Amino acid sequence: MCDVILLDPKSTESDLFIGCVGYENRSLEAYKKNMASDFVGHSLIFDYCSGDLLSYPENRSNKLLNKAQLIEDFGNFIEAISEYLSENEPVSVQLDVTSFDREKLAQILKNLFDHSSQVATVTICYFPMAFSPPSHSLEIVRSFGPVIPAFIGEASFSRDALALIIGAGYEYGRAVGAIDMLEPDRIYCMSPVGTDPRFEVEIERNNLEFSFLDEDELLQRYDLLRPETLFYDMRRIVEFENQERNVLILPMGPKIFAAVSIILALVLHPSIMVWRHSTATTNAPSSTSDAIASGADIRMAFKFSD
Amino acid sequence: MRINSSFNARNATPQQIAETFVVPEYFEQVAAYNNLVLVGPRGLGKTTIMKVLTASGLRFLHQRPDLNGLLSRMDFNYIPIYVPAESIWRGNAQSITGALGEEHERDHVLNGLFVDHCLHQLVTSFEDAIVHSEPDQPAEQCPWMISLSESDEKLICNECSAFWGLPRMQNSFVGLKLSLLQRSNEYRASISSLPDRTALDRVLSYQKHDFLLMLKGFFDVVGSIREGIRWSVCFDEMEIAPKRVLAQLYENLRSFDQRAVLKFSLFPYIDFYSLEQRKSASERGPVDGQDFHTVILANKFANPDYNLARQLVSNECAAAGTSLADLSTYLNSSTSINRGTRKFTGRGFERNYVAIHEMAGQAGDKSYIDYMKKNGIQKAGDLDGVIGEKKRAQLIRKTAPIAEIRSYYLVKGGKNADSNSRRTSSKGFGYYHGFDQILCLTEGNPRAIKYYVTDLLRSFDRQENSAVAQNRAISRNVDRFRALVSAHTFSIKVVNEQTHAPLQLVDILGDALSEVLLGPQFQPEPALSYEVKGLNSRLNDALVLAINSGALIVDQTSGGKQLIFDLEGCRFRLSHRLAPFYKLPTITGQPRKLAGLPKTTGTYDTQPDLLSWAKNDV
Repeated sequence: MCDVILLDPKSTESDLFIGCVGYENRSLEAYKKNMASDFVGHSLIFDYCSGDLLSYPENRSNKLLNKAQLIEDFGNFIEAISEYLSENEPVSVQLDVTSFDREKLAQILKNLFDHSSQVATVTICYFPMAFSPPSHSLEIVRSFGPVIPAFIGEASFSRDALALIIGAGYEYGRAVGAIDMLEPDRIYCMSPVGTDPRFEVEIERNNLEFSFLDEDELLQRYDLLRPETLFYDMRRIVEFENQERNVLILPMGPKIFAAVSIILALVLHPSIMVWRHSTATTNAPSSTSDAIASGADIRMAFKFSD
Repeated sequence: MRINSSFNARNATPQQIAETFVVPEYFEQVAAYNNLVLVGPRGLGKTTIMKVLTASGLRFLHQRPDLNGLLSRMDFNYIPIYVPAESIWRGNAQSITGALGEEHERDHVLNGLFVDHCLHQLVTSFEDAIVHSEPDQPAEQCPWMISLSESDEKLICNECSAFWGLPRMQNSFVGLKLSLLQRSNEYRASISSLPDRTALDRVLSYQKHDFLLMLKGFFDVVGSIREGIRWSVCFDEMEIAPKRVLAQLYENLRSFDQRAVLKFSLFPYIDFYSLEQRKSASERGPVDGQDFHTVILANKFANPDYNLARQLVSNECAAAGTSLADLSTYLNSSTSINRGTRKFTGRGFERNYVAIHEMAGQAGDKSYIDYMKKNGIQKAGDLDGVIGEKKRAQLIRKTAPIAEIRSYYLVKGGKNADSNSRRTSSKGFGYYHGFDQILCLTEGNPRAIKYYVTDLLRSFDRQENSAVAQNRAISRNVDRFRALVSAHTFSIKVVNEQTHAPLQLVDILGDALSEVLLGPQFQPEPALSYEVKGLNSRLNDALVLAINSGALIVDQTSGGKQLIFDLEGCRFRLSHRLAPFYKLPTITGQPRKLAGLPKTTGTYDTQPDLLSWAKNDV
């Protein structure tokens, strides 16, 4: 795979918008903002077809969607992205990661990497949710493994043990359950700050006060509003650990963390593993509560290096 | 105080493990030259004991003067081969299964990855057993080691390269391992590069190997230069290996190879066969005691022995610069333990039944008081006058532990009378406080001991209030164990067909016992365990997962069932590691029949799994 160079998101102007319409109230936030600012490019929107779930009916009936190309089958959606890139290269892409589940997000990003020569820039945008109290209940885990098969990892003579990098989130008990299943030699935990401080309290609570970490310094706070700093910090850790240990990233919490993890894994392919817990139903992304946008608009942009 | 919070043996070297190894009573049995199955859920010390029995582990173990006597009696005349599982196997296997539609393609790739991993570990273990002697120095003489010349190494590697189907002839063990890694990465690339099938088509053209056959070939090659070698092949954590591999290993216990013994660990319930295969395997498969020996590592269903656990705690205390006695005194000083109800001794604690009776009265346990009155006990002091074994059992020995836990957690109504919840009541975990009770909550599981002791030693070091520290440690560790149980994955097929996930089922089983135990009607001998009779098949898989995760402890002594092929007739209790969640006592009681889901009156849909509400509650 190829490397990326980060750009100032304000310096990019997109030709193609990629987003989704789902049951989260915020799933159309980026699209609506684009429409309000007279976006003239093409909009490809994946339809989760979530029935009556939460805000889906309201989102789906939004008249602005008439101006977008709506696709229900995800295979066709990926094909439509590929076709657009091939027919309009070089394309500046805006990818709204807010409400995509991690598997689809990984497939879209992998597709962009596969077509890197046709992509001018990629702008990732993310609209964090307004605070609402999380569930303190354990969900049924259907599977726990690579987000997509591309992240199955590789064996190396110099690496034996496992380093686990966890993106901490609301998901109760998931981090500690993963640690007890994987038994990593080294654990890093990245915990988001920078929006509503109530999130930080709940994240700490749902992660058993991070009591599973051997040393306090392995808990690193990252500023949700500065994804480029997160990218560089993560890259430093991943490249350092990858010299001695197999690196597995478990991106829970905000989707911008998942996006950064997936981009890093694609850059360093095939050595970095990115895993997820699957607890979702087939027609809805991984959480089952509604999410309303807080108002923050977080962006990170990059181009592919030659 | 130096508190080592590094938790498991997977990442420790054999030297680190051997230097601090606490010898369990079953050590000689595990080390002996016999086929062996270690039975129990994760975290029970299987990796520890298997790493001690590697060539390096044995070398460092023999350097401990305190073990001279024991080790000199034992026979280590075999070359140990240690094949650990990779913790990412199961997840990767799910991913490969999802990525490849054709069964023969899936099998080929999964088998290729498994065989090359095992062969790599075989070479690594064999290298570990090689004696490197200098011309002017005598070689270290250990029966589990082998001396080899460079030409021997070249011959072995040449032969193995050909037999194992490697693309080029290798002359060294390093070359052999690199070549295996390269092929392993080709198998991985066949998946990670999909939908491009180029790499997949290439690996599908490779010959499909059988690891046990490759292993025999290795014995042949080494045997051609050194006669009479015996091998002990330990497969660690094979519970997470593909089921087909487990079935193959199990079947080979009967007649693998006269030059070798196989040792591996299994979960208590045999889940790698279908129902028909299980029936056939239990009747015609290898026979326990004849073809292999079984060592049960899980805590006993009743009357568990905590000697090893005490030794482990003692070692942790010593490493932290304190003593077991000091930690024990700290824990027993909790003000949340009902005053005067326990007498602490060096052997554990004794219940003061007179104080418990008084406490039951103060707690408003009218039903208990009525029961005792009917049996002639008008006041606490009357208990001292009870004579005769039968009468004392009825009114003291069986009754006091039940009265005791009711005095902590009796459901009385009051201002929360309209609530169905016990867990919303903030009464803390006083019943579970104290050294011996904490030991019970670990079930003797070395990993759980490590978690609890690390937490509690830190609190002890900071001179925190003992009750606060124990409430926090208990809630944190119960939460952690519940998270582990819930992390055992269900296939989509199982989710669709089964009524409950393992943790949901365990919660219902725990609540059903607890509701009777702590209900308005005192029962001197309440049910505290289950016996399976005609189980609804929709509960089967969840129950199996709950057993194999360690959430349920099966009575493996009844009916001679060391490995469980059939749930029918099984008796089990809930793990004490979960007891504080349901407010169940740390004793074993009468069985209750389990055919379908027990009815519970409480609903926990809106209640948290987290127990941390109690962390500041004294």
